[in-house]
Amino acid sequence: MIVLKTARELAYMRDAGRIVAETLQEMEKAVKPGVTTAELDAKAEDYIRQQGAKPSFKGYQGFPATICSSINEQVVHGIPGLRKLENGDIISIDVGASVNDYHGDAAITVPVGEIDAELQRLLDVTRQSLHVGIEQARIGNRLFDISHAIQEYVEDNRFSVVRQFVGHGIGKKMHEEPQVPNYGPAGRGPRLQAGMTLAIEPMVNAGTWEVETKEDQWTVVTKDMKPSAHFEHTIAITDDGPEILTRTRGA
Amino acid sequence: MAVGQVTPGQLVLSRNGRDQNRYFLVLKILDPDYLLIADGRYRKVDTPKKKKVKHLQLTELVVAEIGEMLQQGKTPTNTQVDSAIRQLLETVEVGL
Repeated sequence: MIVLKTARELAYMRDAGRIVAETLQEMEKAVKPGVTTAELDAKAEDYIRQQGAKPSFKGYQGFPATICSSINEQVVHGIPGLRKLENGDIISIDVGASVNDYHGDAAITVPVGEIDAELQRLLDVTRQSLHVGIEQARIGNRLFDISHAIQEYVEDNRFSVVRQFVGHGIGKKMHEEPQVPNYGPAGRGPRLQAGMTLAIEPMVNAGTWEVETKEDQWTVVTKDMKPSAHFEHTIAITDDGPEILTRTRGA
Repeated sequence: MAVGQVTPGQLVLSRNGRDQNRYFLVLKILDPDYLLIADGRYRKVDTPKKKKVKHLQLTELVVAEIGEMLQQGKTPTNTQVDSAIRQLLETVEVGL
């Protein structure tokens, strides 16, 4: 069942989304060579709690932290720890927070120091594919119009989209229906309606789309160990088009 | 945080029904609750079993070649499915 949100629910989600976006802004400032992912995690948790919100991931199906930190060939769901960021790495940071039990969820991938041009292209294409997808999140379109637009953009740029992990509906639960794949045929899936809220999150690999989960049961890596990037926004479908909920005030 | 999803070519273990404890490959995802599965022996590829996801245990293993074929709209043969499952079960410790 896809839950359509009321104006009041959307207001909570806008609050949660803003806090998530601000947390990511803090993360972007904090990422530099020598910093550990556990330090980033602590900073994110402090920020979210200071705002009176709750970290959505901590304890979710046993996930131990506030952020997912995924470096280089790690695709998503990396667990923060003592690994230090190095010059030339890329790190994906995924954060969720809730206000009055309504969740916001977003992710960015940022360079650590100087990265090579092809890695930068991977980040740019992934970020742009998210926006190409969001552009399709309009009343009357179908869900897979979003999926198809992302896949087409990514593959035209000679990268691949992860199949095994997908975006999702979001609201009072962090994961609601529908699933939002980043691939698929246009013109299929449920029709989009005002009040739907979706977390759209392309995971884009430099090499093969295939991924596997490590022994910790969380960290997902590319099968060919080539780098992967991840960008995500929580959006609402409104009469005026897609509204990005996970953004900072004034952005 | 992304949602894990079933993918064509993925190895699954039946947990409920008369095919309990048999391994199958996913041929098609019908919707978030139902899959079409076959093992090339007990269930042939042209008469796959429609199965509820919650009656299956998913593994992390995906047969890449068969996954690719299915994505391209081709159907693997019974022999291909059967031998892929056997090969997977022989060569790896299936982590459930």
